[in-house]
Amino acid sequence: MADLAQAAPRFVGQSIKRKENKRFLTGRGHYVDDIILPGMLHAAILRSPLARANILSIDTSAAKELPGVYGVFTGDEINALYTAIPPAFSQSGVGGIDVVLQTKQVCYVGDPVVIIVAEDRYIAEDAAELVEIDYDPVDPVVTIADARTAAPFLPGKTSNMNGHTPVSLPGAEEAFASAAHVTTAFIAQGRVSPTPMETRGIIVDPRMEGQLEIHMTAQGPQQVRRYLAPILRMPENHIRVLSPDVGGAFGQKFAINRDMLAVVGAGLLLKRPVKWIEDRTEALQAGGHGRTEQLSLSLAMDAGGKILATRLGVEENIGADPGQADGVGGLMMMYHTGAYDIPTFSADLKTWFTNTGGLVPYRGPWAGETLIREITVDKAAREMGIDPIEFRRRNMITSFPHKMPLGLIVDDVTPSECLDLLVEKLDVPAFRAEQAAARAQGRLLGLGLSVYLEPTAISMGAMATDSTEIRLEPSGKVTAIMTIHSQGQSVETTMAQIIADEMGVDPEDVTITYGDSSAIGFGAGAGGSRQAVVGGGSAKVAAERLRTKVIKTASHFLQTPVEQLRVEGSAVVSANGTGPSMTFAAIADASYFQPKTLPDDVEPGLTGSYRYAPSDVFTTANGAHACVVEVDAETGMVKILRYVVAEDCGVMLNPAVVEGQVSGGVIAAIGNILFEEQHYDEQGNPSAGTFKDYGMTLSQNAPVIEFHHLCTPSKTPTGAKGVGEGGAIIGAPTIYNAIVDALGEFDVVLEQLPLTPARIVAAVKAAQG
Amino acid sequence: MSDHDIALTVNGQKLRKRVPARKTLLDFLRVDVGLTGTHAGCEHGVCGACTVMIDGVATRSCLTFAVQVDGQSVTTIEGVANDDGSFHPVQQAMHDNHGLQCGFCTPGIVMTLVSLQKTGADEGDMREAMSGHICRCTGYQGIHRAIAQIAGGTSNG
Repeated sequence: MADLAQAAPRFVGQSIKRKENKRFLTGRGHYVDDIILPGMLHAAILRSPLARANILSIDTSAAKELPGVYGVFTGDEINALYTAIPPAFSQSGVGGIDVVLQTKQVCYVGDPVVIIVAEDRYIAEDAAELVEIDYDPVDPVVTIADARTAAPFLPGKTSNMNGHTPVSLPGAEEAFASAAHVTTAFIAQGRVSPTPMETRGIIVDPRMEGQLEIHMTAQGPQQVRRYLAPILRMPENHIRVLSPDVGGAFGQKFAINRDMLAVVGAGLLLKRPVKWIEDRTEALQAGGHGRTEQLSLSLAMDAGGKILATRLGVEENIGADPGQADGVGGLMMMYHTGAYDIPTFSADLKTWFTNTGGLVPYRGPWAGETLIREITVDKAAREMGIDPIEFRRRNMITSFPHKMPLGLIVDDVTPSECLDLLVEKLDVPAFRAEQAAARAQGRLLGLGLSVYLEPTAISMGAMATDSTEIRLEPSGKVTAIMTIHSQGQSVETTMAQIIADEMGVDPEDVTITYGDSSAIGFGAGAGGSRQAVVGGGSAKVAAERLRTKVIKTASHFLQTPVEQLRVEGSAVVSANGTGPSMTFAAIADASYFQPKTLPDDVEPGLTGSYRYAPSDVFTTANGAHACVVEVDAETGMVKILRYVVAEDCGVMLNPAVVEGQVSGGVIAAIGNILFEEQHYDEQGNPSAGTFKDYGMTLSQNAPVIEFHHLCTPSKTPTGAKGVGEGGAIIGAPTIYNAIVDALGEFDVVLEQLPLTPARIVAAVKAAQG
Repeated sequence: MSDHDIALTVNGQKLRKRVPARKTLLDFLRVDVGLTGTHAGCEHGVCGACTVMIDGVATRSCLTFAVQVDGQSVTTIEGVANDDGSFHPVQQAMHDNHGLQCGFCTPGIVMTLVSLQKTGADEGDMREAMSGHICRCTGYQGIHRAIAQIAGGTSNG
């Protein structure tokens, strides 16, 4: 059917205020812990206090005797309900621990062993203290270095190495052999906790025969259902997963984890609703981690500073039960040449099991590729005596579409233009003068910058599609049912903006619904910065289809050809503004309540649906960030004085939402570089159990972020590109490079994140000999 | 473990309840009173998501026992908006300035700023008080703009 005319865009591109805000600002959000079901019990999970031990015995008898305790379950009861547990993300299907609760050995601090269910959480935790577990400790495998030499600790494994991928593209080694200069850098990430402010939580409700209901913190409840059905040996459509308001996720809440599977099992055994809400200590220690890799990169340059080839090394410490069992080295390898025209590379990727918390997706899981590349580029520029901005310009991709070394096509990006815009806004000569003046007074200022390409809207496998079904309700209002989700991404607003423009209605008249696996059907859900692109694309085309049907229905009653009609003001009006019109409510009334008045070729009911499967695996966004810092070499304190963003995410559905996403990412990156670390000691004890020991970026450490936007539309229905992860990716090397620039006279070696004051002081002392 | 009778006012509503001595004010408000807008972010008194006002003073409800508020007046996020349902100036400022995303930390931030606004605190005081709140989503940009709006007494909403 031909696409019929809509009103001119009025809402897309505007920073309209969020529709979500009213409930969140008045305390009427609806998060999983806000749900109370009749007869609901509360679970606590007893976890290993040791990194590695054999379980000699578990005695739950005293716990079971405590009044108010309904059940105390070990793996003997729970594990029998499930098949072996596969990792949530893995091409091979091979992961670490494959049972829900440990019965023979424990493999990290926080490894779940017993689940206790009681009438409230207080009693459940009392009972947990009465469980007696006799552990026989074993020396743990904590670091990658340990894993290399230690015997395998996971049963059935022949090695602590989970995967090894050596890659050598043609010409790479020859390029290194003939290079005029080779620069190599190394960096070890600080292990971070994804740390949404709402911890994970789940309620299992098994009261309905043939319909297991689960309310949980999920980015895509349909993905949880898809994962859960085969391991519970249940038909997929006998499980309904509902994900209400979710208080941040950042990748962590994509999957259901072993502790949540224990809750589901306990509910099934007790035939009662059971709630479990993770506490903050559990979240930090057993909620999974990101940024667990050690990275090395070598760049081979010709005499003019043109990069001829790279050599990338990624070793990931994926813990004992990684959801992301294959690691993220593959994605890093694919994208590590970034915005530079580098024809070839070699790479060596390894993942290692250790007695630590498992790797889970965390905002820009592949961020290490930009980190190591941009710090190595700065180092190469320094070593070759070339200005780092000029060095980047000499290597920038300038012709598009561009084929990256592994064949990915990059198009509709503007890395050179973003760098130019950034440099213009920065006023580099003025900064260098300020830097020199400050140095004369003994103050160390530094400027760092980075450029990147961000692969967004990943569209393959279980992430290949998202779908929208839009209804015109009998009242004339519009409802969209979508497979995307929100954990803060503002989709109730941005999707309403898209649909409002297509349908000629106000965004206030559009309601976006999501989060019920049985209502929305399959689709990717939130993840991989996809919602504006894939969700938005499906919403736009579905709305076009609904509009076409609404106009066709009205055409019959208005006795006017469809070509002479358009939508405006919740009505179908004549295109030239002179003829008769029909309100959406009147059209809906005819369509739903008087179907016999419709012509034969117009079906009753007013719906439009579209499942969008982008043709490209990624929709690429790009940006360039810069940062000015002051470093105190004596105390190691870093202060961010200025932060500037130039970025191109295509059409901005809502600029305030775009800037909110980038800002949140940059502040997370500040944590990654300066504050956040879940460090494991030699015995495998995690350093952080509260926000007192885990350094979240606080408001006083958040600089004002200056934004400058370019807009090169993507070739997707909305013209948008994803924007959820870029800030978290590029912020880290930008700040790192600024710190190194500030400490330039010391020639410091900083190879372990985060760059805490102690590490900076130590690096300065080491450089001073 | 002993139970205690307490009498208090929550958002203007007089209540008489019996609570175990160890029950936190946070759990009491959420479960016993049914006001789920107050959130448990860390239960260690660091993140600020659970902040309520006790007799007008911003207080961590996760570090306060319900028995401690006997005879006192508690205001939660549900009690902040005007009687006609319109936003309090702090809520309006957060709305106007994109000061929230997932909304989980938001109630605590609003309560702190409402309590400070009542005392005539300036922008610097409010910025300093924000050091007692953690937000993972927004990068604090919109919250800082909201504080400027509150301190300046302007509203563009």
